[in-house]
Amino acid sequence: MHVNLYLQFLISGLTLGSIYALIALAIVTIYNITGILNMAQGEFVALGALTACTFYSAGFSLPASFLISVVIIAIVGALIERLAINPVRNASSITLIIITIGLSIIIRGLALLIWGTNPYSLPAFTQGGPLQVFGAAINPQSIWVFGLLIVTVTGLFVFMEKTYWGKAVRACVINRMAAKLMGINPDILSLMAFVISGALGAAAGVFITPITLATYDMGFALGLKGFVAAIIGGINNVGGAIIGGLLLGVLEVFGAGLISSGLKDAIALIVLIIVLLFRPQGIIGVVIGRKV
Amino acid sequence: MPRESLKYLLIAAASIGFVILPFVLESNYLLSILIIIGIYTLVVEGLGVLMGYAGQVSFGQAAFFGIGAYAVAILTTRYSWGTIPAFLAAIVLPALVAAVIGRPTLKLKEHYLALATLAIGILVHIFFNEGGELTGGPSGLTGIPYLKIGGLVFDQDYKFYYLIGVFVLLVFLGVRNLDRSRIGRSLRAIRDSEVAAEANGINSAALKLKAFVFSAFLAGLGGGIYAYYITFISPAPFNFNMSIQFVIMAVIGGLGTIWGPLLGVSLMVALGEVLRWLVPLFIPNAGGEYQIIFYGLILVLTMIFKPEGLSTGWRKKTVSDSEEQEQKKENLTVSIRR
Amino acid sequence: MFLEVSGLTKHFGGVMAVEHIKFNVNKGEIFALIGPNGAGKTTVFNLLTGMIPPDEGGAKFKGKNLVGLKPYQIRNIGIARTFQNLQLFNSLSVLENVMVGAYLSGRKGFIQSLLRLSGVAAEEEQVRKKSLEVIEELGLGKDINNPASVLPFGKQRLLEIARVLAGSPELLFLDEPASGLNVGETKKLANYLKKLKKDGFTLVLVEHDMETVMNVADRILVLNFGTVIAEGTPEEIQRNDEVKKAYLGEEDQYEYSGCKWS
Repeated sequence: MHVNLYLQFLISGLTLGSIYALIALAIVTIYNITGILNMAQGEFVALGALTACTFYSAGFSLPASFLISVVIIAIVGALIERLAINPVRNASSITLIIITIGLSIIIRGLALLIWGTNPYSLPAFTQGGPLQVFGAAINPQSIWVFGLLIVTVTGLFVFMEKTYWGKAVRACVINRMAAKLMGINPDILSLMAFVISGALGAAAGVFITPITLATYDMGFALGLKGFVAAIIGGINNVGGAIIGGLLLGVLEVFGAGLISSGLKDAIALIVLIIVLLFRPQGIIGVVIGRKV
Repeated sequence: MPRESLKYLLIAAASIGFVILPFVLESNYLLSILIIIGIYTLVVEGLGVLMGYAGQVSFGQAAFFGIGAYAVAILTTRYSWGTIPAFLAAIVLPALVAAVIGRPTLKLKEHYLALATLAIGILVHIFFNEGGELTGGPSGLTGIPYLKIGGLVFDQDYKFYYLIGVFVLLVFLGVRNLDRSRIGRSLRAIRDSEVAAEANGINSAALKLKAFVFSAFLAGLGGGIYAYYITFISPAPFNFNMSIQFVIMAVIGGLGTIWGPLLGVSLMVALGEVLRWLVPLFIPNAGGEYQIIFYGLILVLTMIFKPEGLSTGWRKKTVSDSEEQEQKKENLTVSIRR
Repeated sequence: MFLEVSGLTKHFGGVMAVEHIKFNVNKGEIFALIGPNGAGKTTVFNLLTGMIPPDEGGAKFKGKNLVGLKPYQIRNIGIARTFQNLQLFNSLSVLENVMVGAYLSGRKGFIQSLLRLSGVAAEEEQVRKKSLEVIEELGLGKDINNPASVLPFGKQRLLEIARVLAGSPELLFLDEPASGLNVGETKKLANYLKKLKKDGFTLVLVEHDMETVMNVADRILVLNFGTVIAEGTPEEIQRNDEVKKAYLGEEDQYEYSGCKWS
């Protein structure tokens, strides 16, 4: 009986963890390309989820709402990069962090203005009851979430390995100056990083909404968890971010289930502080995965 | 009139103004606002040293402020400590917490402290909410006694006004001393070029840690006074938004200046009061959440257009300046590479 | 032995930057490191001052091992350096820059400074006086209150030297002190370096200006592609065929660019 419960925890944990991993991926992408820790990443998730809900309730189909939302949030990412990041790209990293924090506050406030405090929902992507596996119930939406993570990671991998732009990104990560000399414009790469993480954030938001509902303030906690995942993985390590996200999700669900649900949010923060205090380079290390 | 005597005349006028103000002000409302400005100024002076001198940022100042306030509340109401020992605990405790989290994180790149303080800030807020008996949960703690120093009981606003005035003055003097000392100079040197500071014998991680602990110490001081002034506390004023507000206050007043924090706090408190009155006119039944949009806007716009703040500090960073630094950094990496 | 460098090796991502560098510096001499661009001179400086860790080998200063020490610890035991690309505290005044250089001669800590306890003012005054002396000596007296960033380049170079001198180091690494200086300034600098030697300082310099090197150095170490190819007095180095060969490609430049090899 207990085994079933643990299996259930594991599955919910991996679902949640996949979302954290996606957010962490977006954070790591921006960090590697621009050196900025984007504290507004969680707000992209919230905006994506809420936008999709609005279009869906206006009569658009679910896939259409998803696509529209992803495109809109990608544009929001681009606007933010042009208006708030690019003008100060040479400022200290502290200045840039403060700016992204400010942006997250503005976005959250505007979301409150537009959508209010009520939660919004989307239907599950596929109908039908939970699947029974070894006595544990798997919500079909969880499978969609895993799928999104796998597709994203594969897509990112192909992009980095096979395309010109992917190679440019890697060159830029290794040495900004060298990339500049090779005719790669870091400006465009920075814009691209924000577009990608806007789209990624929105996708994650839409996929999780059938499970958790969407609220204007969902982004803050999710963004924070994404950070914790990225730091566990060692901030510039893609493989680490994924594992960090999954690990954090599982840890949270087990912690909430076995100790106390009030502590759910505290777990991620305690993990963050422990990692920062004892192993700030990340616990996954550089063995697994590689830089973007 | 010579400059020097003009300066003394101004100081004398300001002092007299400060002393007689409570008698001139008819409303307790304005006096209480001045007291709050004074309390926040203590916190922001510390944050200003951390940001303007050591070049670090803390997103958890409200937590240190809260630890100070809760230390007073818990120790006086639950453990019947005297008001002065509880006050001392309010100052020491945040400084200890800062020392523990600052030591490992300040050895790393500059943004790690930002993340660690963010995490501590939220964690401490969760603790205030979930602390059950000890912290009183979301409704907080009541019945904090009046601060007693000798025979003096601080049970009225005007008494607090003078008390806070004395503390602010002392902190001003301390920060001014620091600025003109070997330590202040070294902190500013670290901000300009950490490489060169280290090459000149400065242990930058240790010095930044001291600045961080100092900022937590002042936040705790502010928190302790706050608890004695309000006499009941709940978790709400010590949340992440308050930490952000402290950062805004430090930034808009001008980093690396002594008067900047007072200016920044005054502006933000005034803005908060105005918005509280203005926002409902445009957005019916709006709560305080909407104010935060303005704070975010102010923060972003200041950082983009006027990162040195409103009063001129020692640091006038221009675009060409930072480009020059970027260029230097690149030269350095190139020279190291070859 | 004053400074003893043995088997110093460093790779950058598979590329050998310096390999098995070995040399000694005697107390009170001027020792020069020369070599074509990319020979690894600045890397040697960075390794010896704790900026980057060596892969192999090490160095001892008065018998103390330098490997593993942080830059500030190395400065603490008496070794100071200047930077090829200036690293001034741009927002600090000239006087403040030099006073930071005298950091180690102060003892007052954070709390003492905050409360301005007794002795703080006296110590400040002492450091100030010493810094002013050094500033005068280097001819920067008119600029004491100007921010470092507004000084002309030549003066910024001198300011970097003034800053390290204020800390009275025993051993001084100067990374291209003459680069960017005009002929007059370079001459003055050379004379000043000789005076420093007379005052008891030990100097190690990386320099491209051969006239200055041959003029001031007691001994010279020549690097090429990260390895030592010659060591000796200026006369010996000038006669050395290996050295001539290493510089052959740059010979033309040597002729035309006013005795500069870079």
